[in-house]
Amino acid sequence: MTQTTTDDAVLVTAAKGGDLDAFEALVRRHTGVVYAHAYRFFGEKTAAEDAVQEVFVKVYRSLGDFDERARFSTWLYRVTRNTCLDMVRAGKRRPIPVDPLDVMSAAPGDLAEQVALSTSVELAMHALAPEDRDALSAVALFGLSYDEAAAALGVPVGTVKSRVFRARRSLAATLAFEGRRA
Amino acid sequence: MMECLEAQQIISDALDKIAVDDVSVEKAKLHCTTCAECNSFVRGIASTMRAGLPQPPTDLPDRVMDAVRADRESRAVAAATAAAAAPVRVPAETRTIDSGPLRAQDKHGTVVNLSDPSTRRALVAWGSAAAVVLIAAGVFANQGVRQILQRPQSAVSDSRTSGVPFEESTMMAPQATPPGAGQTDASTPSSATPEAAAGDYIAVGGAAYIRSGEAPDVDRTGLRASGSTNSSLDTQGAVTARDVLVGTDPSRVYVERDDRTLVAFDRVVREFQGRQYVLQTGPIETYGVWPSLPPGVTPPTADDGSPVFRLLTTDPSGTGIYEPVTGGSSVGIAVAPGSSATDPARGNPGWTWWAPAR
Repeated sequence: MTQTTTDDAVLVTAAKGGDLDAFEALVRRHTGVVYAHAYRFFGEKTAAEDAVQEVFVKVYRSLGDFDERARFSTWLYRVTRNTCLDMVRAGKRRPIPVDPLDVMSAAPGDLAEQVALSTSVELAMHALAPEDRDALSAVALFGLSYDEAAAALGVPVGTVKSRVFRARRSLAATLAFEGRRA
Repeated sequence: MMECLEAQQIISDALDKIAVDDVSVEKAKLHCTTCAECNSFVRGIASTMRAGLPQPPTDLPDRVMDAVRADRESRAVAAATAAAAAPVRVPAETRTIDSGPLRAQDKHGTVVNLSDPSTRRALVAWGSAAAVVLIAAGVFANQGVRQILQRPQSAVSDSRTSGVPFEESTMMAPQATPPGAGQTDASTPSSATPEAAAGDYIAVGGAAYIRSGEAPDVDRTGLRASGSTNSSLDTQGAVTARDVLVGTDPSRVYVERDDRTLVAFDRVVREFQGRQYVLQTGPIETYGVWPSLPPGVTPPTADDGSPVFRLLTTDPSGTGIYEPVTGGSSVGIAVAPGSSATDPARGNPGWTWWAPAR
């Protein structure tokens, strides 16, 4: 994490100076987490891909405003979360509602275990309460500290902590139930 | 129960690198080995970690960078045109002429910068021809002269009579003929008017695409999502966001109708000085709407393109090619309203903006 943070800072500085290769390195490094957040938000691949493009275009446009005293990943999380919400507000995309029962039927026996597990986990993630998923994404996906996540989400640290915990309990309960059925 | 919650909270905190004393962690671990509920909690967390993250398409970073570069270019144009929109002092060597061989000049008075070598060459070339025509025209009114001047240009647009190599002419022509857009062969009057019907255009990522036809035989498994377009896909239906699919040829995209049939669209391009330019546009929500100047490109206030554009030269078909006053053709080129029907702009009644293809 420390190495990545250091590298991010160097790349951000270079990108701010007009180095497009440095920005591309940031894109390649962080596309996975941005996509994962957007995919879990929308529950749909195409919307997630659109969101990733919008996020990085916004990031590139706003690089000059980024305060390098903050971590890039913290800022990236804010932009990602806001972009997904903006896409919904603009009517471009809507999160696909997930019925918890879908999660429990997501692991047909003829699929490879890893694929089935991934499918189950993603559906379970998507079925979380949005505020719980947001908090878990900030901490577990983008690597934000509770303090950073609290600032990004505009809630007290204790609220972040309880949301992350609640998200994990919900996930575990859903997956455990699904496991017993399999 | 309280004990279970405490144990699970400690495990969760430890995962998030929250400082928890070792004794508490060991107690929590021990509890989880003996308590079925907490054991299930730990196994659930392990499952989510083992599952990994949903993986984006491998080409997504490339597409992201394409979008970033396109955005950077459009913002550069916007900056250039904004600068150009500032009051411009007319140089002493600039004068206004009343007519000329270029289509845009036929219709509008044109300001020509004589200090520009390419403009001087163009001026000399048409000047000789214009002199002959003007003498022959004699007592014709100015409008009559303009009409005469338009006729030879129709012939220039026809590759079979103009001497323009066929391949070059093909590249200059629209990539596809949309149904209902009218003929584009030499029998069609090339002096398209603003009343000419627009083709079936859509906008994808700021680029204009024109319908090339149905695509019933396309292998859908070879297509991948590449952006979206907001279109009714006809002139009457509801406007809605539709996914855009692309195969191995990035210049052709496919969009699915409500009945799940595919329609193919081709990117609208033009060749100029050995480089390919892509037609950019603002939103197009229904067929029959002409591509417009994209957001960020300020429309000229004068027929000669000023203060945003200036005439750069004419291409082999006689179409005037304009460049931004600030930034030059490296950021893009513009074509004036009313190009010939055989031009890639197809007689668009408005200015069109073409960005360099990557």
